[in-house]
Amino acid sequence: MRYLYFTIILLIITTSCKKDFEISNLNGDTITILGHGGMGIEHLYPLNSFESIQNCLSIGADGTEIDIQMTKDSVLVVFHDELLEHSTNSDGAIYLKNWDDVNDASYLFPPYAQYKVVTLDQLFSDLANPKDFTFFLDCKNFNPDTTTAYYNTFNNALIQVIEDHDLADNVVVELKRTGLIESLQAKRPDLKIFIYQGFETGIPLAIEYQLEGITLDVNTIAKEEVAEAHALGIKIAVFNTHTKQRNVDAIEKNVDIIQTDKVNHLIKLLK
Amino acid sequence: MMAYTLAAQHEEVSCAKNVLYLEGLGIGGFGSINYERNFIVVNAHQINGRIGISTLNIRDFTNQLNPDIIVPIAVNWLYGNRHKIEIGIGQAITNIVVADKGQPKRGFNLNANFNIGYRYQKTSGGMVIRCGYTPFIEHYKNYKHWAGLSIGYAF
Repeated sequence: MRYLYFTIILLIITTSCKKDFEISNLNGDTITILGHGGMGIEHLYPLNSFESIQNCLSIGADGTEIDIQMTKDSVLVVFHDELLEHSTNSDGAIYLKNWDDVNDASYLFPPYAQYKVVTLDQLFSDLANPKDFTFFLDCKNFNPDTTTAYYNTFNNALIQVIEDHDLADNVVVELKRTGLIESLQAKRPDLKIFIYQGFETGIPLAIEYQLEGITLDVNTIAKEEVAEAHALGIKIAVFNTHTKQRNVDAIEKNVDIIQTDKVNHLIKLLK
Repeated sequence: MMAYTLAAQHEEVSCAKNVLYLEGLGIGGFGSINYERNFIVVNAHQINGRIGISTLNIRDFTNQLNPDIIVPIAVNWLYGNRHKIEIGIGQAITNIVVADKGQPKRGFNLNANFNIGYRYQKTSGGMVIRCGYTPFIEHYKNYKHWAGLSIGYAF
């Protein structure tokens, strides 16, 4: 019985202590801690709201992932879902609306708060010291338009905001479509780009377009595959870390960037 | 036990006057602590008033202590003896911290709320369990479906 108590106490002590990880990656053997849309999907602040993003930066994260979409009149809006009715008091797809039609949208949860949907420009204007942080801009191109004209318009809007706030060194652009990558590289070859793809398809595309890295689900990549990407000079960013265990899993895989939903936990583990 | 008596149809009934309860979800948002007091008790009918306190975030988005405040108030009509029907209407007074040009700013708002549900409560007091449909009209703009479950004590 005494040994049982001892084992339980030992387990409590060992699991509650800060862990020391031996990290080996392309990021100077450190992991960049990013919030997922700010404080993540389970927080009281809605994903991508100004409050969520500023809160994430205020508690010690290195930066945050931000979802962006473009309105019909080429305004970049910070929002995750394809349809506004999924999480706001408005409805429809952002790419089918002008900013004036989205301007009044506020998030449905938490009750009574009515946090507002904001533009990327507003966000960067209002954040405290944005140049101290890293922003992964996850471009949600729900617009089915695959023309060069659309790609140019989207990238022009993106570059405009980045230049207006002098954040070229702080921003990493996450893209899924190769047409958008080609268009952005033609305009601003200095901007860091990650491709949002699975490992098998992402690696050859990252090599072909000389990208900084790949963003993918933490559950879909093994430690050996991370090492394989690193050997090719390709960084790995992971998302879908909804649980503390997934934070630990991501660290142990030696990834370079974690976009976490458990921001406080990851900060406690790594800082 | 604080209790009072009333004469109703020639019989004397000992009736708990106060209730303290915790509500999960409900008109306080995600949860609230509430005090309720009976104003009128006639036979199986009761009218009571409720006031509570709730919050969302204790620290604001700049990580400073700056709690959101939600005060649900309501007037309820109850019918029944041990098993009661409850219908209520009220306001939730909210003082929530939101961003204004990047800075925390407290915003004061009124929100209408309604309640229809079931309550278990002995007339003389003791354990209280209540559950119901508790929609509210947020900022008098957005109708929101909501529900609540409470447990407390009448005395």
